[in-house]
Amino acid sequence: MSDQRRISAASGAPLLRVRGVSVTYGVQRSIADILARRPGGAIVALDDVDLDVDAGEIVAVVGESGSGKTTLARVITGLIKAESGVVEVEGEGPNDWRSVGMVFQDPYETLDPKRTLGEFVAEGLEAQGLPMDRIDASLEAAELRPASAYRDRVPEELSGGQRQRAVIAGALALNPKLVIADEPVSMLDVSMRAQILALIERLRREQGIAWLFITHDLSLAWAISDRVVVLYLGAVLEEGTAEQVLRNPSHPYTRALLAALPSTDPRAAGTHSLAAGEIPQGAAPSGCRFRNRCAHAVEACASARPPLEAAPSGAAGHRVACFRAAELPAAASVARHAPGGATPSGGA
Amino acid sequence: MSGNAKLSVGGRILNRVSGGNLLLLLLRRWDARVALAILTLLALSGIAPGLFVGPLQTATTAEAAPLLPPSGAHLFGTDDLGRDLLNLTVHGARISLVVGALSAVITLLLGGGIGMIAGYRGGRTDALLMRIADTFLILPTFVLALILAPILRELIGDQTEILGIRTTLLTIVAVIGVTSWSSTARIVRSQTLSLRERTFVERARLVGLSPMRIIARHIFPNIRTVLVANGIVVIAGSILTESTLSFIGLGDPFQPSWGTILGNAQSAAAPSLGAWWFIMAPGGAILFTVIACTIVGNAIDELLDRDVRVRR
Ligand SMILES: Nc1ncnc2c1ncn2[C@@H]1O[C@H](COP(=O)(O)OP(=O)(O)OP(=O)(O)O)[C@@H](O)[C@H]1O
Ligand code: SF4
Ligand SMILES: [Mg+2]
Repeated sequence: MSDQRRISAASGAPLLRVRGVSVTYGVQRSIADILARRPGGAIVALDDVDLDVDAGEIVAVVGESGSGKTTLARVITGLIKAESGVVEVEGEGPNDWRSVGMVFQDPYETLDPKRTLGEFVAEGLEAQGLPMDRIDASLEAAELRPASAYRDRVPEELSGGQRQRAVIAGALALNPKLVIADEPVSMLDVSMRAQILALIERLRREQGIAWLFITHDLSLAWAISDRVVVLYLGAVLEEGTAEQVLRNPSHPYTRALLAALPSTDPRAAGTHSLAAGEIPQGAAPSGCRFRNRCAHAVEACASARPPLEAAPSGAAGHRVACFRAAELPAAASVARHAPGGATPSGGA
Repeated sequence: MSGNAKLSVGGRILNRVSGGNLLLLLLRRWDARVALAILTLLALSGIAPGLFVGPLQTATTAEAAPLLPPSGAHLFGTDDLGRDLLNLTVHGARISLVVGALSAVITLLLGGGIGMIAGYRGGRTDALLMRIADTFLILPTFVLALILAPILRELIGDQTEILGIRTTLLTIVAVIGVTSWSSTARIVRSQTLSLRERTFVERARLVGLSPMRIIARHIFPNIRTVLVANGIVVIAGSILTESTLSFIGLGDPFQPSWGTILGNAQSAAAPSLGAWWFIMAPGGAILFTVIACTIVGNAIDELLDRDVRVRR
């Protein structure tokens, strides 16, 4: 896996360009909250996030629960509005639905139990005024073959993997250049996972579709992505190629995440750990967001937010948000973790 | 919860409680079977009374001695004018059926439509519509009917017919519709609110489906059974209201109704004469119909409840 795999547009603007996006959720207080004098206020789900995805590229967004991954997906697809910042696809605002598809985490919830797969795929076509003859082609492109065997079935007759293929077919019908996939395999069993990953990889290869692959699972990110973006409490802490971020991590958080993986490589096991295990609730700490869990935190870390800057590795595109990145010892190489032993991109 | 749990054995059947499916599930319960049989009998009596008794004239003309107790010739006995009570009761079913069905249609159209729009649009539309619904919720159906029925009768006249239904009946239907849509709207709204958050609705929005289409495709099909259950409860309530109004003489004088027969029994002093059959025939019809509606409505509710639990 290397930069060669990246089929990026040689020049010009990226396919997806996210700049300075912030999202705050207002939190409604219940009567109990008011009586207990719990503060109401707001949860900052995304704080000044930048992100690029090039044409035909697979970018993994990794982060723990609550880091803002789903919020990011919802902003990019236009389901919610960002408070500030810009989201552009091919240089245009997020109203061009056709070029961005979405695959949700729960295939059981994404399909209306009362409607057939054909009706599901037709929905987007109808809304966009596209010809209905694309239904079968879309189902088959998502490996539901022959389409005639699936078109008239309702979700309850299908396995989770088949449902997720149907959801992907629904996205493909609109000819997307980019598909946002929010934990698309987390609810599937291991054998299904490998198949869906292979499908994603194939669609990228054959149709040039770019994917923003959201996951909390670093081994999935390693298996599928060209580039990795590490999200923590709504902000990007590290980004770079999969190789850079997962084999030569710079940020203490990325290192800790990798170290926490059940590892087959004894060199990587247990060399780093999360100092305090819990992700803070509510507002992120001042200064470095990660400082209350960071084993390397010093006083200076509380003074300001570390900006996302070139990593000490010096590799192009590898950026990290840590004041002490340069001082920290080089990370031990991290073992490859492939889900279910299958690495769809293994041949690359 | 993992997705697979949603495919549990019960879930397989119940995930798609709807239409013919619902009828099959109902028929598995003995109480619902009995109730459905009663309602079928009611429907047949209302639509084709000729199946059981003679035409309407035979019911309204006296041909026997007054106040005969039930016998082979007159299964339900006769009233104070010597009319066959079975004949009258069967013909009375039509009014109950018409009032029940029309009231339910009005209630479901108003309540379902307003509930779905309020729930889906949310925000100020929701607040406004629910405020209106609350206002109607506190209107007492019976008192309103009591006031409106004679006024409308005076204004339009007894004999006027609209689409073959006399205005007195229409008044009753309108009053029931106007006072009962709001509780339906509340139920439908809360269902819509939770459906709106479901991923399949979110995804429909994402691909650009218009709100009206989302309501037609995703919201309505998923609350259809709730509407059916609610409609049946409305039918029971409206049959009771109609009977009460007819009992006190505000019903349709030209078509026998169970309430009218009960009213006649009252003015003929049937209770003190010991003519229990005079009260039993119309009273039993009302009682069985209302109980049957309630059983079916509750059974659907219970099936839905399980449906929802399994799906969560
Ligand atoms: N609709 C909402 N209203 C209020 N707060 C929300 C809402 N949606 C998300 N949040 C909060 O915003 C933060 C980010 O949530 P988000 O769902 O984007 O995280 P995530 O990375 O997708 O997590 P997970 O892995 O659990 O799906 C969390 O603190 C969450 O509690
Ligand atoms: S800036 Fe400080 S607290 Fe934050 S990750 Fe770096 S060392 Fe740790
Ligand atoms: Mg999420």
